[in-house]
Amino acid sequence: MTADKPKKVPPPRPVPVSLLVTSRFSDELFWRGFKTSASAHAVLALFAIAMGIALPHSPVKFLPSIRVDLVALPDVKKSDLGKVQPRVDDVSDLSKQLHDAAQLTKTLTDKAKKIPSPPPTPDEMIKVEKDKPKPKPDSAATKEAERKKALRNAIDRIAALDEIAKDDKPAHPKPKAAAKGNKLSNGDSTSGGAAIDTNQFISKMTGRLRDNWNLPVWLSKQNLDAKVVVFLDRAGYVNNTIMAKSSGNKQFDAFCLQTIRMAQPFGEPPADILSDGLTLGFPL
Amino acid sequence: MGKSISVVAILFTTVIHAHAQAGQVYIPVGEARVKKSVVAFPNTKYMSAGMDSGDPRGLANTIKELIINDLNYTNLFSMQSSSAFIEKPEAGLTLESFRISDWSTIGTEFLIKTGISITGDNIAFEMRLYDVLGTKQVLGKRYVAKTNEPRVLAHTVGNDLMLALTGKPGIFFTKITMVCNKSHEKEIWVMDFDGTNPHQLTSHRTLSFAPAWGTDNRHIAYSLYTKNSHNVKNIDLYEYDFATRHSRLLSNRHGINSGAAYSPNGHHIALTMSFLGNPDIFLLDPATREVTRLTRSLGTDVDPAWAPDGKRIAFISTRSNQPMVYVGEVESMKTSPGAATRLTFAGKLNATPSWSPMGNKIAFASLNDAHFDLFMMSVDGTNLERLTKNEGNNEDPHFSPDGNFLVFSSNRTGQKNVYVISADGQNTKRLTWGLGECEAPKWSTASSTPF
Repeated sequence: MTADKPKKVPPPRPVPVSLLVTSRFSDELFWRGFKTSASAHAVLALFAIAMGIALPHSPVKFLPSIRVDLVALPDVKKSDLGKVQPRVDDVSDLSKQLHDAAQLTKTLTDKAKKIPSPPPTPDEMIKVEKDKPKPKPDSAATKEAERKKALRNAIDRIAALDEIAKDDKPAHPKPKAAAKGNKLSNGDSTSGGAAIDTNQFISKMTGRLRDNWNLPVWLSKQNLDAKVVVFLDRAGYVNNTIMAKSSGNKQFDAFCLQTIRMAQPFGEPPADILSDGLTLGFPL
Repeated sequence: MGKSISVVAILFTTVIHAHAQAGQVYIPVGEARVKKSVVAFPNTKYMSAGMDSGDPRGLANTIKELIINDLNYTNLFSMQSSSAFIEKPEAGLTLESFRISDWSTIGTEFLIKTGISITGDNIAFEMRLYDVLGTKQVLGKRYVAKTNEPRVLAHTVGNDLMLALTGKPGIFFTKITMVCNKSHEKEIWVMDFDGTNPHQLTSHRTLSFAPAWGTDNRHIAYSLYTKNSHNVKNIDLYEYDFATRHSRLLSNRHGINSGAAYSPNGHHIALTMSFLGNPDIFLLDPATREVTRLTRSLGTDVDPAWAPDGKRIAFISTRSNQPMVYVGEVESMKTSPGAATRLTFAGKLNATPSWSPMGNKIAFASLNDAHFDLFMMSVDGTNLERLTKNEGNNEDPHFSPDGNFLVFSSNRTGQKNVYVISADGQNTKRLTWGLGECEAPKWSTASSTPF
């Protein structure tokens, strides 16, 4: 067995003198250029700051030299925009879910049956036997009644879930509305419990208005808007309406007033709304 | 002292008033649910006076069905089924002669009641439109027509109903021109707005194409492949006259004379001409046949489309290498040919822009993913929307005079036919059947009478 011979490391190649000189020259050039660039940037920055201090109304604008907008043809048809994705608890899935729930219930019931209950004490056994009510005979009529009751409950549940699903879907899917500008809302001077009452009333009233706010196709395309001031009585019925801002279209104005008329009564209004009335914006 | 007290009082009042205004609650109701208006149209009543010959041809029913077809075409209304009606047969036409509650109970929003009397070959037709929720008559009119004009009568009634309900007149007298090759050569055809009554206008037995309606709907300009006296092929511009049923030559300048578009005032025709070497947009005066150049670029400029105010033109140009949509002011272009703004930057190839009569939208076809599809944008190039997808090649869009529909050609069935789609892309209807390949449709301008 022989030892491994150490590998021979070749000696470093001698660097030509010209390269050494060039390298040092390049370094000097680089640092000179860097210092010049840094100085120029610093001067520009100081100039911008000085301009900002001396002339606050004419700040130096930093504009991009090139603006690039990436555009592409839209991939989704206009008629498909805004379509609601099928909900997880969509009506069509309900029957499957009910079936799964029924299966689970059956499985749990079967498991419960298999678990033995602890044996009663001797005295309790006699008492249980004496107190045990006589079992009723299993009649077909009883079974049928129970089946009908279960079916009715299932149908009620489906109908209730269907109502919820309907409320979430627009009557006619619309493309997204254009973004609206920032809008300041009037302040609310109430606080504490009064604020809660007002907010609850507003929420309920808004819901009733939206449920009745419909427009024909030809009016919805015209981007109209109107504002109506409404005064309510203590029962929440409309006392008076004032067209604060007409849309300019009589039909549209009529639909706004019709919406208010069909949505009433709104319930007992809070004191501030009872005295001051409120303004409704169609649509905003 | 008195002055200072009054100033303080004014300030105090202002503060109180401001506080009151600031405190009033504001509720934004939000976007409305959009829905079709529910319309009931019970059977037409035979008015006892004047019905000496009865109605053996069932004109009453024919007219009613034609009106319903017109209203259904617009896709704005939901017509109630007659099985839902609870009104008694003896109810009349006037508000005093029937119970409005019979209609409000079943959810009717608008009620159309009609009566007819036929005397010889004359029809007297009465129509009353009611706003059921408002419990009032909106429109009441009496029409007189010949028994052989049920369509004219129905369309007239339909137009009046549209005006009363929507504020805009109907399009039921408008027509569509197009190119079809049923006779084995591409000729100019015309049909009614709903695809009925198609008939051939030209018989050149050569390639006719690119028709365009005159502003008065009495002329159609179109291009024709011809050979001149030196047997050199050329594309000439002709104009068909409905009154004489003949075509006259408008321009046979050397090269291309194609893509005609009449200006809204009818004084000029914008088209592509290449007699100066490059295909550019020119204005042609059909009376004097003089031309004015509008574009001068290194690219090809085609498919001019007028804005409804007649002050701007949209067109396709390859000046940036790919065919894109441009818009220019006509007066500026006369003095500075080629001055135009580019509107589109997407798609491999854009073509055939059409300016909405409402002035706010431009529709065009674009080659995307190896197929042509229809798109729509605002007149500044923003809000780009897609109208068709995965349905073959869809080309040559053109707006209806009310701006609510687009007519276009599509080969989605394997053969090119003319279709109509609503401007929101919701409903598509096929209009041509059995006419061979049909393309390049153009919708006429609005008309309140048949032509």
